[in-house]
Amino acid sequence: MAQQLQNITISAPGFLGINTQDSPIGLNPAYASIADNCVIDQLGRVGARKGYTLVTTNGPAVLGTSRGICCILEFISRANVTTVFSAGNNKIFTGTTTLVEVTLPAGYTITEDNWQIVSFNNNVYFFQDNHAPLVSTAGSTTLALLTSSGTNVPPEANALMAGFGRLWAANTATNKYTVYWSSLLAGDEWHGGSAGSIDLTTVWPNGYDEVVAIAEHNNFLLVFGKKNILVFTGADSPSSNLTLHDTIEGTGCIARDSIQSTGTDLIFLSTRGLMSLQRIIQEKSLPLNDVSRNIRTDLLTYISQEVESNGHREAIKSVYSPIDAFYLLTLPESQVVYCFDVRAPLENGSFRVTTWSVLNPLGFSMFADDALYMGRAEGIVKYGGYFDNTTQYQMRYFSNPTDFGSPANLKFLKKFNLTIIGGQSTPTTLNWGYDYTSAYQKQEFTFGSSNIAEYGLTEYNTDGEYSASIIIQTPKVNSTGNGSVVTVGIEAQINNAAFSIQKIDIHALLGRLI
Amino acid sequence: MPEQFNNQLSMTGPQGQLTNQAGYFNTQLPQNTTNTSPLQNQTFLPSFPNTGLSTGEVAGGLALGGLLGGNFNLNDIISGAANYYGGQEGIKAAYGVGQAGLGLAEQMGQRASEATQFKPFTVTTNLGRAGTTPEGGFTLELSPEQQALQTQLLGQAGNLFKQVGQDPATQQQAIYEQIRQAQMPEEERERLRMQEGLFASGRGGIQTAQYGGSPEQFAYEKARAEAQSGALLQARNQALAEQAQSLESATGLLGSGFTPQREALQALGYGTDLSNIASTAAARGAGTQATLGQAGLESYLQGTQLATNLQQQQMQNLLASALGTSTGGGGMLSGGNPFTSGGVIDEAFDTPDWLKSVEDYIKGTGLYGSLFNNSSTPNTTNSPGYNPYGGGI
Repeated sequence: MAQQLQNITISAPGFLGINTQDSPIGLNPAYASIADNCVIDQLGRVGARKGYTLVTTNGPAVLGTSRGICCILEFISRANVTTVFSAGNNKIFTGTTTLVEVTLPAGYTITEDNWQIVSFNNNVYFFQDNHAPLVSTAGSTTLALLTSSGTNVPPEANALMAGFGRLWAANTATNKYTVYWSSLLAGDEWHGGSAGSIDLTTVWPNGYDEVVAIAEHNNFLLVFGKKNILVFTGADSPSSNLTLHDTIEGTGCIARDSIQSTGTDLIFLSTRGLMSLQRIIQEKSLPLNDVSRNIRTDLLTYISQEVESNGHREAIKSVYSPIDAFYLLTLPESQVVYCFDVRAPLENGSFRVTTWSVLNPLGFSMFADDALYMGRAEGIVKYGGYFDNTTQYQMRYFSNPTDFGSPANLKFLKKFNLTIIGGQSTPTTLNWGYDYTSAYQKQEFTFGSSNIAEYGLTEYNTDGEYSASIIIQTPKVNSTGNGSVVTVGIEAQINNAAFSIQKIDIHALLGRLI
Repeated sequence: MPEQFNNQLSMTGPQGQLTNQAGYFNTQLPQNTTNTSPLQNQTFLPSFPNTGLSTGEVAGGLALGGLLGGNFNLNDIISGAANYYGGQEGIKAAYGVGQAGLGLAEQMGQRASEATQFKPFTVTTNLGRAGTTPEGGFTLELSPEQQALQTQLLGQAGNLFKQVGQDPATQQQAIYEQIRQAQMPEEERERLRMQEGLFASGRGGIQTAQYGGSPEQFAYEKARAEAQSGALLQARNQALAEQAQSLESATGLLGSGFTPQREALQALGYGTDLSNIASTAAARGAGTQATLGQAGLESYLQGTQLATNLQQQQMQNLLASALGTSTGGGGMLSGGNPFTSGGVIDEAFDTPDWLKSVEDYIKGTGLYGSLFNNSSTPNTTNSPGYNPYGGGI
């Protein structure tokens, strides 16, 4: 007598993002082991990330064989003139479509592209260590050196922050323990007016540390060391009132450009992983949370591969996109981008996380139109669409090995019923495997194409499109083999169409006890 | 006659009470030899001229009268010679009286000078010894204790004068350091409190363009600088005040250092006053002596002059009686030898035989043997009626 097929449903597979830290057996099937080039879409499903569009047309000409555009900043002057500054190939450019080199001071030579570019008081300031600071007045394409006369030498700092009406700088080639602040509203005045500095050698709670980054959060001035964080109050009048409010030991920042403020959290990369300083206004406390605990080992492994220079890992960049509600952290050496969904943390406090590959961004910037721009080897690209420039890219989802609640029984997978949202003409491969194997059995299929209704376009006496607003694909794939634990994966070549996995229904027979 | 006085002056004793102990002020004057009458000295006045003629002299005169009663007009010659002789004798007597008066005056002057001559004296107290010198100066010798005290005081005064002579900046610096040393502990406590506050609030490393360091450090340093400025000004004033005080103290010590000398000199003054009593008495005695001596001398000279005059008058009268006068005619001796037996004198006085034979002698031996005294039989001096020119007529 044939046994009855049992239905095992994985709803919203990968909805909880990647989890490589917990034991896969018995793990919630909503966790994924691989969710590459994925995001958590607006409905909480694992979907394909967007691609990008190359904006720059003269990238190879100006960037040559360099890594590409590493820094991008959009500056809008008081005259409402927008100027995009970017840096790469030891040059500073303006523009996005056509990168135009700015005019540097005579004899000025750039040897690195690790600029920290800050807009402050209608000017743009360029700081990086071993380089005299530059300023673009009101977005001028001619950069000038900051005023330097006598002892009034601005610090050639690697960390820069605009806040509390001043510029704050730290981490020079010879002094990595002093934070300097400019005079009020005068980014070029570092030794007069209300300018000043604070030596932190006696403040670090856990021995000597080096300043990596400076940030403002919850009306606090945060000074990030590599292993400690100093929380200061009174930064609005630092000469008189700058006071140490709190110290956070054991957690610092290892990548200056990993710091992003989400409005409620301040996210930064530490040696423990990606951390979040939450904002509690009433209590004025700053709860610290590890938001990358589900991928901690993988993340730290990738981080360790990044080159550390000037006291931190300069190549690591990040961005927060309020539109997409994610925080991106690129690790160029590993060619991996971690995408943290910041809508809401999971029960364990971590963010749902996916990875991006192939994209290999070198820098990010959110523009005023809420568009995410990235720097790549070929120039500035804009995040959007479902092509990487003009090519397809692969989205991959793999579940963790699961025993479906019967660890002692063999499972005979008979059929997969997939529910895919989107995915027109998307070549897709269904993968399944037993007992922790990575040699998956595969079944390829391609979704059909369909026109998506365009509301508001239909006119009477014309050909109307009355199909659904979004295509829902429900492919069915027969499967074979058996094993005690099963791993399921979907690989889809994103072909200019969204692709989200809504549900995976598996028909299986439970076999004998093993 | 030596005279010693032990004058004990009241002085402050060790307990502050006034004491009158022997030896505190022992003023010994030297022996005073005043009050010695010059007339009591070994002074021999010439005896008054003997106004009575001796028997021999009278006899001689008579014999001379008998001689002159001879053949030649010897009477006139003798009368002239006698008159001359009498005048010469009066001159000699007067000269002798003058010489005697000069000698007496010189003696009295010498005695007065000796009596009023300055006699050096010494005043000895427990402070020291002050003495006068014959030349009019004085010597001063302090007691060892007082000398040590004076040395100490003058040494201290010298040190203070050195301080007075110093640059005020040096003392000012020293005082400034002392003031700062007094201020620095509290400053250090304040600094530590400030540092604790700064480092507790994480502000220890703040450097500002406005204040250099932190405002707290600026306030501290400002207060410290103000304290330093105040201390500097205070030290300046104190240095000048101490210099003035040193000058005053040095002056006081200098005066105190010479106090023993001054007191000794003052004691010398006391001694001088006391010695003035004796010297005044001596001077007065000498004056009195001189006055009395002068009066006696004058009286003596007047008496002598009177006696001389009387003697001269007597001689003249005697000669006139013996020889007669040119106006009155013959005298007693004009009729023969008055000393012979039956003669006038012999009848009156019973003259000896040798005198009775004087006429022969005069006539036989010569005139001068009767007129002048033989040097082999001088008159005895220091006898009543001594006349060095006697023995003749």
